[in-house]
Parts: sequence; C-alpha cells; structure tokens
Amino acid sequence: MGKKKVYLDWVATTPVKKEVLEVMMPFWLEKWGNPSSLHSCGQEVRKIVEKTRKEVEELVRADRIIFTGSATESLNLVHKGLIEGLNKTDCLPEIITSSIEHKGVLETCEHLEKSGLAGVRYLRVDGKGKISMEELFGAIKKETVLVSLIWVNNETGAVQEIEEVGKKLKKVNGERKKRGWGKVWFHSDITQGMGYLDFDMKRMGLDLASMTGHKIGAPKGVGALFLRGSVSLVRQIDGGGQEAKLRAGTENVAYVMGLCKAVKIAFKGKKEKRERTEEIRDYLIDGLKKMEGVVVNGSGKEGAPHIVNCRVSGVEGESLAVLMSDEGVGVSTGSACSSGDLKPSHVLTAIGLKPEEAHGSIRFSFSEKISKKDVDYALESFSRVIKKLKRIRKGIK
Amino acid sequence: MTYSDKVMDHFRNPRNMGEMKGSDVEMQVGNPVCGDVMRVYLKVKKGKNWGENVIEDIRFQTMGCVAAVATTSMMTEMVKGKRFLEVEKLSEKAIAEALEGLPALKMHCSGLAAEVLKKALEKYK
Repeated sequence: MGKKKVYLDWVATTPVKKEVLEVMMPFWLEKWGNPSSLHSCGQEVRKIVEKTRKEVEELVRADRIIFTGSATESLNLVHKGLIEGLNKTDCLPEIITSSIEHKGVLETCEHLEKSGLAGVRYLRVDGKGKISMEELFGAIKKETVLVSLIWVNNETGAVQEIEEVGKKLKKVNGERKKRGWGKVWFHSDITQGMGYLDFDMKRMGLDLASMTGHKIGAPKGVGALFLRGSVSLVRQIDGGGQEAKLRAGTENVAYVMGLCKAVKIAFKGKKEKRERTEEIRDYLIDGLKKMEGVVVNGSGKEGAPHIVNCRVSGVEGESLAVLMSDEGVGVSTGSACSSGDLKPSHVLTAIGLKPEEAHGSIRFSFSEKISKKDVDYALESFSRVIKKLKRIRKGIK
Repeated sequence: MTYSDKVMDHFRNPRNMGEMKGSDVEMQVGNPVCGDVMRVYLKVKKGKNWGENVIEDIRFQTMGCVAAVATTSMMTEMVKGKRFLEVEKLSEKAIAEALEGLPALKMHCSGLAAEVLKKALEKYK
C-alpha cells in the first residue's frame, strides 16, 4: 500500500535492539561452546554467562536468576514449583492472586486447583484495575503460601502497589513466624513493568519475579525468574543440573546474553524514558477523549506509561484492529477474541465493563520511540475507521 | 485468526450494505452481548405463491467482527434476484464455503447470516 506505518502494539512484542543483537552474535559463531563442558571451549562461555548473571542480579537486587524460555514458563515454575516444594501437611495450601493476571498465571492456578494441589483466591479489582489492600490482607489465612500479583496489567496498564504489598506482607510474615506458621511468599509478574518502572526486588519485598525478554528489546524465546531469599521450588523441566537444578536443558547462551543486555539497557535512563512515554500517552488519551463515542478504559493517565485501552460504542474490536492495520497502524483488541477465544476479555470485565463494551475495546501500546506525529496519524486513522464501521452498522437498534 | 482473501474482500468492500427505504420486510438478529448484530431489508417481487416470491433487492447492516460483516455481505450476494424456494434453505456451511472457509470459532457468524435471511423470508407471508 506504500502507506505510513505506525506500530502501536509494543506490549505484544518489541523489535530486538541493535546493541542486544551485537552482544548475542559472538555466541553463535565464536564462543559457541556448551557452558557445561569441562574444556576451555565451554568454560570460557560459562565464565561469561555467570559474570553477566551476577551483574544483572546486582542490578535488580536478586539473589539468583533462573533463565527460562518465556515469562509463561517462569510463571508455571513459580506457581507449580512452589506448591510442589511445600512440606506435606493435611491442609490445602492457598494462593492469593488477582482476577486480572495474565493467562500464564490464571491457567496455571486453575491447573493446580483442578489437580487438587492448591486452593486459589482471586482478588477483585476496582474500575481502575487496582486490587484492594483490605481485601488482600483480609484474605490471608493460615493456609496461604503465596501472593502473586501482576505489576503492570498488559491490557489496561493498571499498576499495582507492589512495594506497599511487600512492606505489609513483611509485617504479616513477622507475626506468622511468632505463631509458627509458614511464610507467605510474594511473587510478581513484572513483564510489562521492567521497561519503564523502577524495579528493585529488595525494596519491593519480592521473593520471586517473572519476566520475558522480548518486551524490552531482547528476542522472543527467553525469559527469567528472579529469586530472593530462601524460597524453594521444584523444577518443572527435569533433566540435567543446569540453572541451579531449577531448569534442565542446555543454556540458550546467546539469548540469555541478549536478555541480560536488554535488562541493563532498560535500567539506563529509565526516568527520562518513562517521562517521554507518559507525555505520548497523555497526548494520545487527550486525542481519544475528543472523539465521539470513545471512552478510555481503566487507569488512563494513572496507569503505566506505555498502555492505553479504550472502547468505542457500537463497534467491534476485531473489525477496528483489522481496519487500523489497513491504515498501517498496528493495535490490539482489548478482548482475547482473535486469539482463539470468543469470550470478552477477563480483564475488561473485571474492571466493570459490560461484555458489549469489552468487545468494542482496543489497546494502544507504545514506547519512547513513538512521536506525537505518529499519534496524530493513529488518531486520524482511528477516526476514519470508526466512521466506516458506523456506516456498516448504521440502522442497528 | 486468519481469514481468507474472500472474507477480507467482503469485509473491506461490503456488498449491498446500507439501509433500504420502502423495504417490504426488515429483520434483525443477534445480540450485542455476544458481539454481533445483523439487520436485513428485503424488496420482494410477489410470485404466485410464497416460494415463487423473488428477492428483488436486499440490503444489510451489521455490527460485529470481520466475519460477521463478511458473511452478511456474502449472503446478500448469494440470494439477490433469487426465488424464496431457491434460498430458504441457505445454510451456514454454504455461506462459509462461498467465502472460501471461515475459522471454526467464527462459524456462528455464518449461522447468524443464514438465520437473519430465514427469519426475514418467514416474516414475509
């Protein structure tokens, strides 16, 4: 079509950064040894991987990093591995999580429930996508073993107060210790927060945190699990002793190096990146608010810097996204409609949207690389596309 | 979700789309809660019996996904100018096939397009 192209789906994935690719290249052509080999060819790689691992551990203040294949794999390892690692008792252990988690958490929790290995409490969220501290801390009981909360919601951009939960949980755990009760571990899916928000395992009081590389400029197919303290997990992939016996399989060295580089880059100039992206977000929100029939969903300007979700009354999200793509603008449906599920998005219904409102929702997500000109073009396209769809549906009552 | 070129063509350039003034019959099916609503308008040339009635003209309006728009558009093309008895049994499968297939999850859209036609024909007695 030769039209302008504007990619506004940075939550789905990001391009690999040039500096990341450069760090990865030598591990295919020159330093291709297996880090588990005893000879110099492997040991040379082992040294580099462990040095880099340590650097990132220090950066995020984790005690250990386990490299995995994706955030989803990390999430599976945390939830299943923690439950399987508990000392056997008569009572069913309970996980407390939110109703707006990524499917990687929700489906894993459902698996544990169905297998009779754990009970799960799903916290409600308000219209802005936030959990209530009262509900969370009121829900903790003797059997509770894990609190697992998504830091930045991937559909609406709602940000949970992880640090506050961490602080309160520390007090709760102090009390539990006196009573001889087990610790409540704290995990967060930090995937969408890593790029823009300040991340510090210690300050946030996290025992576990899961992420993936491809949302911050590393390639798809590599994830990480950060651990702090004495949490013990049972690995979900059996085999060799790699990754401190928590994830068998030869290390994907080039990708691990890429992920580490992307994390290091993410930590550089975070404040400037965040402010620049927030400016773009607010500009987009202001533009959307001026459009007839368009309502911004959830947290809006109080949410993450790079995510805006909105709904358009009387039109359907998939049609919007496809016509936007024809205009050269890449956006996502708020609903999971196009990913093989016709149910309205669980996140949008959890923040109080009616099914028909959830069906008509669209997510814009971006980065500091997006300009106001790009946003102007996206808004013009959005207006044209809405007009077209309203023409098709005009007489519907 | 991947759609055939034909589905995309009907979605991007819907045939017989819009309101019809002075139609002989109007019918709407679907539910916004599920995401899809379809409305058709028929201009009928009276025959010697119900089956011999001819759909002289047909128009549609749809609120819904890509498949909902494309199936209604295709349905109107398939039945325009036809006698009632020729199209009263038009199936969701036939519409989907004419569109070179639909994803399994979207077959209900084709079903809805078949339903709106059937109900419109029944209404015209």
